Amino acid sequence: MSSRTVSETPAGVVARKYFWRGRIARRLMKHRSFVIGAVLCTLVLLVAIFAPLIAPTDPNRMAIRFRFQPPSWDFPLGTDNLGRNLVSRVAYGARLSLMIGLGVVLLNAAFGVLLGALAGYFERLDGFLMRLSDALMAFPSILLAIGIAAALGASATTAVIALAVVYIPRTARILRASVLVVKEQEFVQASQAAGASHGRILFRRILPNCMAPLIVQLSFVFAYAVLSEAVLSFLGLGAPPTTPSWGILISEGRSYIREAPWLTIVPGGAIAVTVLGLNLLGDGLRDVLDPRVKMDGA
Amino acid sequence: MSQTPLLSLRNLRTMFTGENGEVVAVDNVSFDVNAGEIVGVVGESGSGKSVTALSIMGLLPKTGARISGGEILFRGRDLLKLSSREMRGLRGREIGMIFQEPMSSLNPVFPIGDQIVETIIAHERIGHRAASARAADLLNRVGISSPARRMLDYPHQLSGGMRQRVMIAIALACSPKLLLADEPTTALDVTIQAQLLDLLRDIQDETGMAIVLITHNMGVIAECADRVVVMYAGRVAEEAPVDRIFDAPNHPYTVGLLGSTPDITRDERRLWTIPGSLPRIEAPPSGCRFAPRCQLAIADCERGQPQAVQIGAAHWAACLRTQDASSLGRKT
Repeated sequence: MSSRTVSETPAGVVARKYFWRGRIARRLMKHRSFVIGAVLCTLVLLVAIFAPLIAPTDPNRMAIRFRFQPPSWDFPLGTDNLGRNLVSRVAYGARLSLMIGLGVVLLNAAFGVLLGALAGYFERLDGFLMRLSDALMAFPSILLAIGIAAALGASATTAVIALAVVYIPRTARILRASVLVVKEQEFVQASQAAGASHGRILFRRILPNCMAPLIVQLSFVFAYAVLSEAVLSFLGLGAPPTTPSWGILISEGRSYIREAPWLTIVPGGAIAVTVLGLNLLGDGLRDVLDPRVKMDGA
Repeated sequence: MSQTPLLSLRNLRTMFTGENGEVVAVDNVSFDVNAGEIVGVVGESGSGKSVTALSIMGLLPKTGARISGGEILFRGRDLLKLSSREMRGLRGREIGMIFQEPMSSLNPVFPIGDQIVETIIAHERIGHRAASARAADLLNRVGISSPARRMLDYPHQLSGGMRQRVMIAIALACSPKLLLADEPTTALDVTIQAQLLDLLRDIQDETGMAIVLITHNMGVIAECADRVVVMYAGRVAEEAPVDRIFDAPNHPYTVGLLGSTPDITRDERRLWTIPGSLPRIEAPPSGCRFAPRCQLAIADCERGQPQAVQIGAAHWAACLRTQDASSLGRKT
């Protein structure tokens, strides 16, 4: 590295370039489970994006003549009881599953992080917020999601809200625990001594130190959301039956599980692959993004 | 010196609420720090040195600690009367602080350059670019070579001495009038200690900043301080110019502290130790707190807290038997 002077390159800018182009990317590429997870997730993502190109027919187009076709050259994943092509249905289902998962993760990140951070940092809020989350966590998660979804009426949006509510207390808990640990570290006092405000300390100094568990948690939340959405759809509380969500596919295939097992195995496999990919991705990110876990083997 | 002191503690009293009621961690502590002066605060662990520093900064733990009396006058203003917002503006800008543990005082997830820049930006209306340039200057000044490159390093990539230099750079970022250094060299090895003390002295010479140097190391005091405040069990035992402390200590505790410091010019096999240990803070002795460990204690010592007696110019000792103590000093 050449000896740059500060006037040429503001250090912050250099730092950011260095961070993104150099070490982090290189180390992620070396991390086996991250790479596998990234490949699986990318695959699912591509299927979701290019669903109209992948699907040979409209996912709801029926062809009674070809009902219960096992996987074959013409129907790579088979057809269902109404002769609908499973390739189309699984591809479009990926869209719905990923969108719901993403929605849940975003809501979860926003509220879980905010509530957890506030509870961990301000002792006065802690009791109230945590009792609130205890109350939510006292319900079995699926039961709570079913309750909320039932109360709000079945739709994809409801499923997102219901699942977010269910998982927010868990994320908040995890973040609170990390904030409690980090806020006792000396550099927090050092920032106070340097005159930083509460907001700055909490969001700029403490939170970045809590990213590793948060990223892992969010990857799990994504995975759980995909899974739970399938459960909600299976129970008829998620997306309407006309949309080919993976949960609905399983639900419909369930009745024919002996005669046509591919109707459950294929969407089930899609869910499994997505969840596995997300978990591997989260683990890899955790290992690499946390600078404390040894940066460059030195 | 008739000028008004930069910092003036007046009968500061800080209490902690523990399981068994309130305990007084800092009791009736008064001392002055003048502009451009290095005041050493010395004492054993638990003598109230760090609590005094945190009281000045207003950084005592929110639950369980409170300042129950006294004044902290900084440039004529009582810091205890400022709002938390005003205090925040003061911290870092007018009063800087460096801590004992350079290993944990820097945020592990940010490059050090960003941490200096953030501090500057928090206090001044200045662009990121200008702040970066100043951060590099600061690193240069605290003796870190190729600062532009070092700014990209994370704390774990630096040695302990380097990290403490970075901490000093952060503390100096807004040219404070007063620097509180809480055991800045304790966690470092001796050669690095000496370098850092030289650095602090140089910076002090250049900027005319006042430094309160908290330490338990008499060698550090001898090296750096202009004036010394000796604390024992939350009270000031003796206050004097540095040469008076070493040549003519007048409090038996100071004598004991000096006697327990190794000295290659003295010809003795074993180090002198002060018998016993610090009194339990929950149940301090009723009179002089040092009385139970003091060779010179007499019945009067247990009757009340001895008042500070003036012994010479800027030299006080809170002891009933200062005269005998000075002779004790000559013997050991």
